[in-house]
Amino acid sequence: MNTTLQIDGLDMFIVFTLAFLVILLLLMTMSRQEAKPRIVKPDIKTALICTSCGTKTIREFREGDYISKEADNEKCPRCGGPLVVDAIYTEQLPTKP
Amino acid sequence: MRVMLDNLILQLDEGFGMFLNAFYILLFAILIFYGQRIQFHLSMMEMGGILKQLFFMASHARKTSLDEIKKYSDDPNIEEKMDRLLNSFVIFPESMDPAGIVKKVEHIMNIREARFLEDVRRMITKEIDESRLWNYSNMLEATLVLNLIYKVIEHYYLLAKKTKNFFLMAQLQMIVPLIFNEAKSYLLAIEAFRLGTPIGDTIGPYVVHKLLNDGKTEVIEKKTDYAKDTDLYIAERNNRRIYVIKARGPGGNVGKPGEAIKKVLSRAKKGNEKIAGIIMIDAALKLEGEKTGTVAEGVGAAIGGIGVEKFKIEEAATKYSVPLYAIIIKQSIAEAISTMKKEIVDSTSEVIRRIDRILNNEMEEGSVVIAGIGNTIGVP
Ligand SMILES: [Zn+2]
Repeated sequence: MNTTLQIDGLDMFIVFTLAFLVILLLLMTMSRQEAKPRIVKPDIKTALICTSCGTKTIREFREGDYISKEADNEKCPRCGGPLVVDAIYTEQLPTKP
Repeated sequence: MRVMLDNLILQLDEGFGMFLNAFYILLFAILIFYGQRIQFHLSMMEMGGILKQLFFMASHARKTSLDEIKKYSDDPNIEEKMDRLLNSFVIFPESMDPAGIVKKVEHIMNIREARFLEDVRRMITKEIDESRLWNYSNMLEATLVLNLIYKVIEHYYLLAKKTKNFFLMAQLQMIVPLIFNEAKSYLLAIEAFRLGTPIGDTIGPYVVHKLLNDGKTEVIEKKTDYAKDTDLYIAERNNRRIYVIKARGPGGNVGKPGEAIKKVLSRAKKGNEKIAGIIMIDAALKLEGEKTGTVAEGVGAAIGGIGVEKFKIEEAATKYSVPLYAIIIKQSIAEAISTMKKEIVDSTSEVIRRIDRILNNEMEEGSVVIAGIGNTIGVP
């Protein structure tokens, strides 16, 4: 009685592989359909430059900034001179395909 | 008894083996005869998922634009007006007889631009500055493109589904990852236009703006709206007269640099002034292996778009036999239409160095036209 229902090792292997593949396929299609694209807000910086001493400062972008715009309420941290917008940029592109 | 039982098990085992064999043969047959159909359904499922994502992106874009415009409008019919704009279209002129088609295309595009801007203006009820209005017009154009991408992909998807055409679905499946990436960059473009930040394409106007303001250039005169929405700066740099052309900012706008260059050349001719060359600075599409912000030089008219301005520049340059130099700053499509990357900003000094080199060492005596090509959003 030591031989119970015997399935050949290879058959066993194939059956399991098939089952595994079917499950994998289902999971894949399901996850594909559910994934919504992430909408990432880009991190935008504004570089300001002092018109009298040339010191650069970087801060977060504020709406209304444009190149060569004089910053209203900001002064140069080193000499107190007026600041103008030198550049507006993002450091990394948040689209990783 | 023992033997019988063993035999029974053996028989059972054999039966199961036979069943498995039959199963494999059946599976084989199914895969041969229905393989393509199964594949079709798998493709269809995948495309359905992607289509859903595209729909999500298109409606997100529409909602973002709508919310933004509502800040400046209390028009109760705003949604209706916006949808009308988002479903607007352009019919290009017939090209069977191509003679004179550039003029026709220009005419149609001028009407479209003017009408689009006026439609945006009609949506706004509160006071708004002109540059923001231009940005909103750009933003809605990007929303329109996203909407169009969704509709076209949906069209092919439904067509393939209806006709059960595996090859149509397979083609769609092949092209869709590229289109999907483009759609993602349009979402970023909408964000950039909404905020009014410079985009990668702005590098041309940005470089000439920096050139005019780096202390080595003396601006003699600024002619606003020299050509439609395009400014001309008459200046001196390195003891040479330069005519600097860029679109009028800081609203999102590409202007008409071709028209402006043509006008400068013909006026110089009338005034017996020698133009030694034209230098055009523009963003250009990089190859996948190239680094963002790489600067390269060449000859020819460096300008994209529908081709009307390019045609005019080439015609004028040929007519007055003026050499055309081009400096390009490389970037991907996504980078060109979303907020400017740092690598692109950092290429500015390199471009100006190259302009100076060409001005000092490589040009004959005479004035030089320098044109910063691209959308001038965020750069006055
Ligand atoms: Zn300072």
